[in-house]
Amino acid sequence: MKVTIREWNAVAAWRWDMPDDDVCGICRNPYDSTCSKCKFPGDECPLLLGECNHSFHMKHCILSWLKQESSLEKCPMCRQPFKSKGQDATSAGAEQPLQAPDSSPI
Amino acid sequence: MDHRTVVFSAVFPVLSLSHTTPTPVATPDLGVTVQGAAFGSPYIPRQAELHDSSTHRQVKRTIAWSCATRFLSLDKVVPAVPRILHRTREVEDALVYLLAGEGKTSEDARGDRREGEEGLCDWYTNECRLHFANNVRPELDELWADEVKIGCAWDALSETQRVLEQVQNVYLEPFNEHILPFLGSGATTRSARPSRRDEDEAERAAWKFRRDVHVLFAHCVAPRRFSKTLSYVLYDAGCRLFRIYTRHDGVQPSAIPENTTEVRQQMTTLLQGLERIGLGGESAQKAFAHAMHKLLDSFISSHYMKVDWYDEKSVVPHLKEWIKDGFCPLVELILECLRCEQSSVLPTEVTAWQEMALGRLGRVRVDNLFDFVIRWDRSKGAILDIKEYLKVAGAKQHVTSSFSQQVSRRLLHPGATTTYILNVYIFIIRSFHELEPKGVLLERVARPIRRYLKEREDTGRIIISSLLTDLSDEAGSKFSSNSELSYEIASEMVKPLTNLGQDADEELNWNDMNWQPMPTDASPEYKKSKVEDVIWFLLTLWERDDFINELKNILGDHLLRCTDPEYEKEIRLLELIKMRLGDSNLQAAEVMLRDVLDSKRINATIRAATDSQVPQAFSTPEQRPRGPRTPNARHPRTPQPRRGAQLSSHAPSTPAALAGPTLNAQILSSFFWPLLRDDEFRVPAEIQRLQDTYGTNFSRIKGMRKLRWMNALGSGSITLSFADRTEEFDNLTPWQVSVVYAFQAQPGEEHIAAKVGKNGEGIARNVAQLEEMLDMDETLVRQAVAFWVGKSVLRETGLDTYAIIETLPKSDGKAKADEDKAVAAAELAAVEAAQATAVRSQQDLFNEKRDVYETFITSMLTAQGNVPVSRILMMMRMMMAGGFPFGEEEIAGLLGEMEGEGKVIKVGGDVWGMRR
Repeated sequence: MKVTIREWNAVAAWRWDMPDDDVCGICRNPYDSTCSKCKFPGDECPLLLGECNHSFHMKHCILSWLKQESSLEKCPMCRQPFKSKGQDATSAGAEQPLQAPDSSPI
Repeated sequence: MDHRTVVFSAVFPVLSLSHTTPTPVATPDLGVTVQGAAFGSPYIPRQAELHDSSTHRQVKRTIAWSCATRFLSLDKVVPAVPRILHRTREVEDALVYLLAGEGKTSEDARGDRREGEEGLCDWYTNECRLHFANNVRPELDELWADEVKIGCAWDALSETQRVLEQVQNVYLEPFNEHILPFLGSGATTRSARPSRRDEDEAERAAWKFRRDVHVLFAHCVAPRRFSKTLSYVLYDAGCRLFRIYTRHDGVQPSAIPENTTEVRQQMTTLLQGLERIGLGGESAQKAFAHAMHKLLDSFISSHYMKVDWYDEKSVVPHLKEWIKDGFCPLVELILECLRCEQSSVLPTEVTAWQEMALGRLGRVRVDNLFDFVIRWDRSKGAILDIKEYLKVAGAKQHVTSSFSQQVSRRLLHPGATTTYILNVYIFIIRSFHELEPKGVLLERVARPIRRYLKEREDTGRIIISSLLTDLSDEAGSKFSSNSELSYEIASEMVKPLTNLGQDADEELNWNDMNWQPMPTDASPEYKKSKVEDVIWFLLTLWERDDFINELKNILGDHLLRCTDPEYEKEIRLLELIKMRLGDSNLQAAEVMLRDVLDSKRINATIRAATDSQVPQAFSTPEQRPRGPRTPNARHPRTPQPRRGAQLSSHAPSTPAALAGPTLNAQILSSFFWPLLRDDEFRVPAEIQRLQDTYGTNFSRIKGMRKLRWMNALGSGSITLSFADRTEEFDNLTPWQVSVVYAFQAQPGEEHIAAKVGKNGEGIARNVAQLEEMLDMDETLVRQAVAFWVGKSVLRETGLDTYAIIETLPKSDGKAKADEDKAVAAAELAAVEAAQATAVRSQQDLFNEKRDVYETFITSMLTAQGNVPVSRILMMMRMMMAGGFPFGEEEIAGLLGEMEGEGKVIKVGGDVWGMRR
C-alpha cells in the first residue's frame, strides 16, 4: 500500500522567540499578548529587544517610555542606556511598512 | 284530633281542619225560630222573608253561607273548560249578602274579625287549595317526582303548564264571575257611583286570590327542579336557534337544521304560558340567567368561535356582532315573554356583555396559549384574540400566571432538549411581540425561561453554533429533530440587521418624536426593545463575560473547522455581537478571526518564498516525482471549499508543488485562543519536513517569532493505492493519516510488503508498535485504527494486530465478515470522533491535573484530619497555583474515586478523612 498525502492543513501557534520571563516589564502583559492599547498581537504590536536583553512591547510601551524626558533613554528594568539589539529592531521596524498591507484583512 | 294538632291549628290555621264544607243540600230547611216565636211553630218565615225581617244576623248569614258555598264548591274532576254556572236568584242574594251586604265579614275598627266568621273569598281560596291538593297535585307530582330527563324537559314543562293553566281557569272562572262583581257592587247601594275604595277592594281581592293560586302552583312543582328544567329548556332553545352543535349537555344535534322560527314559536308560547300561571317570576328569571350563561359558554366553544387558522384574523368582531345582533334580541324576547320589568336591553348592557363574552373567550384561548405559541405564525388568529382580551380588566394578570404555569409544566423540565426550549422561547418572543408590542408581558413570562436556560450547560453552545450555521445548505439534514442546532436561531441570523445603536440614552433623546413613557405596569428592570430582536434576547441571557468566554471557546472550535474561506458568517456574528453588547472584551474573538484571515496571506507569502527556494535548497528525495502517482489522482479532485484551495489551484504551475503535498497552515495567536488540544505525535516525515521549512520561512518573514505545530489539529486529504484499488479520503484527522501512513513499508521492510498474505493482507502492525513508532497515545491509535477498519482499509488479524487489506476478498463470506466488522468499527469511530473537539473541555483539564489535586487533597487530609468538601474547595481555590476553576462536584467525584482506590474514607455527610 502506498499513502500519498495530497493536502495537509496544519495548525500552528506562534510565539515570540524570547527568553522565558514572559511578561513585558512595562505593561505586565505577556509578550504573546498585546500591550494594553493594541488590539492585535504580532505584527501590530511587535517587541523590541534591547542590548541588555530586556524586551518590551514596542509601540506603546518602550517607545513612549523612551520619549519621556525623565527616562533618560534608559532601560526601565536595568537602568542601562537602552539600545535596541541592532538587527532585530531594524528588521522589525523595516518590515513593519512592508507587512502593513498584509495585516489589515478586514 | 289529638291535642298537639289542636294546639298547632290554633296558631297556624290548618286548612283541612278549619275549612268548612258546604251544608249538604239534602239537609232539611228547618227555618229559624224567630225571637219571640215558639220553637218549631209552623209560622216560621221562609228564606225569602228573612231579609226583611229582623232575624238574627247570625242565622241569616249561616243560611246565606250555606247557599253560597254550595254553589261555589268545586267538582272533583277538573273539567277541560270552566263550567258555566248560572246563579239563581237565591244564590245571588246570598252572595250579595255575604260579600257586600250585612253578612260581609267586615273588619271593624278594632281590626279583628268577628269571632268565628270567615270571609267568602278566603273560603273560596281555601276551597281551591284543598281541591288542588286533593285532585291536581298527585298528577303533577308524578311529573316532577324524579329528576326530569333532558329529553322530556320540554314535555314536562308544557304538560305542567297545560294542566296548571286549565286548573287556574277553572278556579278563576267562578271567582271572576260570581265573587268579583259583588265585591264592588256593595257600593251601589250606598252611592250612585262605586267609590274608589270599593274598586280598590275588588282589585285587591282579585290580586290576592291570583297570588294565592300562584303560590299554590309554585309550591307544587319542586322549585329547584323546575328552575333547572326551565334553564335547560331555554339553553336548548338557544342552542337550536343559533345552531350551536357543541353543547354542554352532550346532546347530539339532529342532522337536519332546525326550523328556527318553529323553535322560537315553541319557546315563546311556553314562556308566556308559564308567565300566565305565575311560574314566570323570579325563579324563572334566575333560570333564564343561568341558561344564558351557559349559552354564552357554548357559543364560545362552538364552531363559530374556532381559531381562525386560515385567514389568521381575530374572531372577536364576530363575537361582538353576535352579542349585539343575536344574543341581545333573544334576551329581549325572553324578557318580554317573562314580563320582566325592563324588557329592553340598554346599550351599556350590550357593551358589558360583549366584554364579558370577550373575557370568556380570552380565558378559553389563554388555556391553550402554549399550543398557540409553539404553532406561532399559523396561530396568529388566536394570538390576536388574546390581544383583544388583554383590554379586559385583569386579563394581563391572568395571561401571565396561566402561561407561566403552562410553561413550567410543559417546557421547563429535564425531558425537553435545550434546542427545543430555545425554539419555543423564540416563538414566545415572536408571538408575544404580536400580542403586546411593548414587551412587558414578554418580560414577565420569559423570566423563568431565561433563568432556566441559564442553568443549562449547553445553551450557549447551541446558540452560538446555531448562529454560525448556514441556513441555506443542507437545511434538511442539519436541523433534524434531535439535532443540537436550532433552525429558528439560524433563520433569525439571516434576517437583515435592524437599526440598532439608538438604544443609548433613549430617555434623553429630545429629538425622538416617537417617544413614549414606560408602560405603567412595567417592572423596574424592564427595558424597551424597539425591535423584535430575537438575537438580542438570546445574547443577553447571560452576564456579558460568561457569554464572551463561551463565545471564545465555541468560536475557536468553529473557526478551526470552518470551511468558508471568507469567514463571512463569523465576521457577521462578531459585528452583531459587538453591536448588541458593545465591543469591549471581544478582543480575543477579534484576534481569532484575524488570525485565520491572516493565515491565508501568510500561506501565500510563504508558498511564494518556498517555491522560489525549492529547486536549490529543498531537493530532498521526497520532492522527487513519486512512482505510482497518477495525474488523475490529483486533478479530478472536486474543488474544495477549504482555506487555501485557491492557493493550491495555482500551485501546480511550479514543478515543486506538483511533487509534494500542499501544506496550508493556520497560524494562531495562542494567547487569545481557548486551550486547544495538543496531543503530541509524529506526523508523516514529509509533512514534518514541510512544516520545518514553513516554520523557518515564517521566522524569516516575521522576525523573532517561531511556530509550534499542533499536530492534533488540522486535517489531511490522502490517496491510498492498494494492490487492487485506489481510494481517496478527505478531511481526515492528522492522527488517522499518521497511523495509516505508518502501515507503509519502512526501509528494510520492502520484502514483507512485496509478498501479499494469503487473505490479501499487507503489512501488519500491532497497537504497541504503532504507539512506539508514532509516539502517540494509545487512545488515539485505537481510534484511528477503528476508523480505518471501518473504511475496510485495515483488518484485525490477531489481538490488537492489524493488517492492511491489500486486495479485497472475493468470497462472499469473507467479504460479509469484513463488512460487519467495518460497520461496527465505523460506529465506534464515529462516536469517538464526535468526542474529539478541537477545544479542550473542562473535564480534560481536570483529568490532566488530577494527580496534582490528588496529592494536594491527600496532604491536606493528613495534616488537618477530617475535612468537609466545601473546605477542601476553599483551600484549593486559595492555594493551587494557577487557580482551581472547578466546583464541589468535581472534588466529590475525585474523592469518590480515591475512596475506591482505598486512599480516603467518607466520615459522614460531606466530611472526608484519610484511611488509616
